[in-house]
Amino acid sequence: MSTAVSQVERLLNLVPYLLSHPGSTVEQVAQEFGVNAKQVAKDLNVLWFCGLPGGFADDLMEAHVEEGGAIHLENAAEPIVRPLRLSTREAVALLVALRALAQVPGIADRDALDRALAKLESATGEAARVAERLSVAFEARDVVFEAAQRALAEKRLVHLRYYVPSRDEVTERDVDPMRVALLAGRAYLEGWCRASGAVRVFRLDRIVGIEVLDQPAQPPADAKGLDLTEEAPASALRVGQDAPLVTLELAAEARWVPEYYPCESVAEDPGVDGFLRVTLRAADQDRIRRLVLRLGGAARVLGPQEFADKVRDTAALALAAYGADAPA
Amino acid sequence: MPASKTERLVNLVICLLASRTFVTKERLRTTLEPYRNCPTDEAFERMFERDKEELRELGIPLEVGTVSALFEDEVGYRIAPGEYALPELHLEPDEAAAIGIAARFWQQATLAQAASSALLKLKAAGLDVGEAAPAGIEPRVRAEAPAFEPLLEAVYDRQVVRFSYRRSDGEVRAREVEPWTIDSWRGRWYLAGYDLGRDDARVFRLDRITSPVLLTGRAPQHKVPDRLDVRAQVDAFAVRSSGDLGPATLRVREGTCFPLRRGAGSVVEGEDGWDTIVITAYADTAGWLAEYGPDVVVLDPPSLRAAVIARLRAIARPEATSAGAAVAGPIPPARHAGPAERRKPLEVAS
Repeated sequence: MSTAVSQVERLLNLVPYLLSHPGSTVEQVAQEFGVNAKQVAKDLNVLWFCGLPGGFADDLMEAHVEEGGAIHLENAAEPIVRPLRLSTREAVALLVALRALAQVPGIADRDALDRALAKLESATGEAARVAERLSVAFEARDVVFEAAQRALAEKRLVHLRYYVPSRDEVTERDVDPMRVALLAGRAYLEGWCRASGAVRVFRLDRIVGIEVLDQPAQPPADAKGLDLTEEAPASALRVGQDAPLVTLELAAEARWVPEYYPCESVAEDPGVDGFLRVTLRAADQDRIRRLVLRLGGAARVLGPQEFADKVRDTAALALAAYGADAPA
Repeated sequence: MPASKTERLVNLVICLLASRTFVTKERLRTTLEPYRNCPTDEAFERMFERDKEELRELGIPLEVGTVSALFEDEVGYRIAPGEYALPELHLEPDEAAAIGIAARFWQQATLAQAASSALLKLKAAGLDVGEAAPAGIEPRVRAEAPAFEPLLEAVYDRQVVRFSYRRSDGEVRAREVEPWTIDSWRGRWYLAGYDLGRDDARVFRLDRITSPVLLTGRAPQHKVPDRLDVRAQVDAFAVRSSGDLGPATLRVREGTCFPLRRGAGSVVEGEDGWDTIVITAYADTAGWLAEYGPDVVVLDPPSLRAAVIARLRAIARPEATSAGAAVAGPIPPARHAGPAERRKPLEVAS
């Protein structure tokens, strides 16, 4: 969009904005419209030359800026006192988000989401149908999701039974809830884990049991939430850079591995056509060991030797339990 | 001179909105000063054509019609206020908060931008949609595949697209697709559409598109299904290759194998530190059980027992010099409600 065209769009929204927010300052408007104060001043100057057709001075709008920056718009042109309709993209962005949220099992305020959705749908007309071509779904277990939201809203401590797959273990801990987030298709609870004395992110589908306690939640004032712009919360994949690298050779049927396990490197196998060679860095080698066991012969550990031996020993131990059916 | 051009366009919008009847070009030329100042008719025509184009770019609906019943060839323009403006809208505080949360949903650049400009229009209409509830939930949706943006365009406009696609087995081939929907499920993006090469409906994973997406400009020929459930479709791909194989009886070590226990139909606690559980087996259960190593022993059925043994043996005694030699056939997709890392991705667009 050219500079002039985007300025036109801004002005057509600025007039109704100034009418509904009388006394807004240049600074506030600049922030709201995502431009600098200088640009707002320029925009306001243009308004002085816009108005009803007729060519008389009193047909034009008057945008006064007081000392202190408060803007007063007078003689606003009646035809443009309402903002522009939402564009298809704008309608899609909001409607798809509302629909996605309203469909999360166990979400609080579903009723408000549904009502907001219905109102926006009727205000956007045709665009509401186009918005059906894009959808986002989250997985969440309603009971756990409900409890997590309630604890957060009521600021209460929760007791979690949390499954740690790499150790195949259910752990127990008290957590001061800080945030419920929906990321990459899943729901997470972020909170202060009293046992580890740190902020932790818990995947809701791994919470085996959640109890909202009567005790108030008291996360330390300086406890900082994690950067949720990452695809998966950092602590869920906390991997030290000093953790050893494991190299795997993957057969064609195991080529999906790098799509699900973060790999340091992925390359076509130099030896076999269609095979992949990947390296994974895991502080928690158990996770990779379990993956290799799962893949059976479709994966081979190329190194380190120590890790390869460990996987082999685990498999041998497992075989031993089958006795005569599985002679060593 | 962008300022004077902006001024001209805003005044044109006001003029066309203010008039109940269609306004002729001649009338516009006498009414609006910049048009009046055009030295020649040609200069005016050029300027007016460009201005119309730019209003349309803004999504402003410019109507063209005849000015009077008597002179049918006299064409004029107007903007219907009902088409131009955001309709009147009243939101309860909780509805406004819901929209506030929705506006922060997208991490993807163009949709995030669209959401905030939508929010600005609602605010301009006097709606208090700025702040989301402090204890609200925070959705963050990303769409990073380079294919996302062009496919979204193609899905909006309904035009045929072309791209290279890598199947899970590594085969890369050019595809030509009539796009229907884009859906995110379990954090992954899928395109559903009609694959013209395969002459059938297909679902594609966006992160397996290996080339830039080309918009052909061609309109689709096949009817879009009335109801599209991509999730069901993706599921169908998974279910097709892995049916329910009936019950399986396992011995599991005390305090281990939690996900197996969670899905178990019965759990009998033993005296010897081992419990006996019954689960429903699927074609991929052997791989899933092998993961638990020495903490699980399959008692029944014999076929599952043999499959787990074969897997373990392939690892315990790797006679083969490379991966893949020891296990015949692909591992079918998982259907367990366990953590997703152990799900094999769904076989789509094969």
